[in-house]
Amino acid sequence: MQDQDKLDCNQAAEMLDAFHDMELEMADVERVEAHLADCPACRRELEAIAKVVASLKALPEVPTRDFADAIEARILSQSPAAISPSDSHSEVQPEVVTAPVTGQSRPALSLVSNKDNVRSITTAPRRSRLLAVAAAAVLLVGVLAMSALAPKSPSEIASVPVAPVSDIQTASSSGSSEKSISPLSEDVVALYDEEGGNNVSDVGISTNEDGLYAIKM
Amino acid sequence: MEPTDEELVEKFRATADMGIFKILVRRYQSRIFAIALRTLGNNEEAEEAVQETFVKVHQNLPKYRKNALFSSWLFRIAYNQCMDTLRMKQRRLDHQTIAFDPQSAAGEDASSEGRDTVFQLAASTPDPAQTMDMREQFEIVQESLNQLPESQKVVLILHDMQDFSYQEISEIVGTSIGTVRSRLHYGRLKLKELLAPYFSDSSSLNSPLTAR
Repeated sequence: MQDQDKLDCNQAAEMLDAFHDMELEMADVERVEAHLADCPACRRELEAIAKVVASLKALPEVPTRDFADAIEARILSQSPAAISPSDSHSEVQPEVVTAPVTGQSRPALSLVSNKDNVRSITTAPRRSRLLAVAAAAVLLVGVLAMSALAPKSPSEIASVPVAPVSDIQTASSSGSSEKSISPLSEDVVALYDEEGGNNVSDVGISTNEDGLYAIKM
Repeated sequence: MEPTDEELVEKFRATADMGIFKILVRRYQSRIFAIALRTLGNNEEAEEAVQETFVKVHQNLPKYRKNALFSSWLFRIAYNQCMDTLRMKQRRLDHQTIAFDPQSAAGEDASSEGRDTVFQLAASTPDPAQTMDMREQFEIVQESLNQLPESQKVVLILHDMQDFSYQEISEIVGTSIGTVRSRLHYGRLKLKELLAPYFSDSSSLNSPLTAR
């Protein structure tokens, strides 16, 4: 072995672990062996490595139980669909949820996730605002003409879905609990009356998923 | 001849038969449990790690590619699971450190109360006095191992206790062989320092520690 191939103790120390583990390349094995032959300190170092490794290997094997059934139960509980046989390699197909399309009228606002309804969520407020403005205008006209003319129910305007009346509407309809179904009816007028004809701005009309209803500002 | 892991994986993909998946579980659960228990030092956490590992294996089987050994892929998931558990544990501890006093390691220390430790699960021998000595030794080694940085500890567990090669460890841990080699070197160096007071000149490789 030539001099330049000889290892000093620092170089040898870095290789001793891999030497012990038989993970060194053959050329390096020979260099380490040559060094060890002349170096008692590195031989002691190698012995120390062997002791450390032996102390780890001496740790007892730990008993374990069979987890197979518990794992199966956990998998089944988490994704029962994933267990069904598949002809391709993808076990879990993305679940496509399609909302049923029916002839029934949908609420103006609804928090459902299909594309059709997303469109209705974005367009419904605009339509509702128009309806609200129209209803408010008619309400004003109706209130002003109330003493002389027969009341004209704004429910004709708000002919969209029937919905429960709001709390305010119910509370303001003193003792008329039987009238609490129509979203916008004479109740609004009654509320307006109670609040006083000159406080028009204190009563408004708003919308929710059930349609139009009166609110106290 | 027993089917290979890869053959079982293919069969499971085709049939979704959980019986096949359970063969894979039974093939590797003991080894993963041993690694998890040594790494985490807690029976409950190790059991949880084993189960979560296989749940993740099941979830990710469609992503498994045959150019890697199934076992390497599986052990990598197990390793990541153990590291996740350690990180969560570390957060819970909130920078608290548990001081290790080797002189009191033989007793039931506070950190092991109310849970099964690796020592409580260790093999017993008929002679109570001998059992005590062995338990002391095991505890000292395990507690010293626990003193190492996680990266070094895991490499020592995988190599010195589970006999993985440098190449396999580099795949499991996701690092280079050079880093594996370096972590082993420094991990053993540190462990040697920690165990030095317990080594005697006359101790043999088979009984590295002597009774105090």
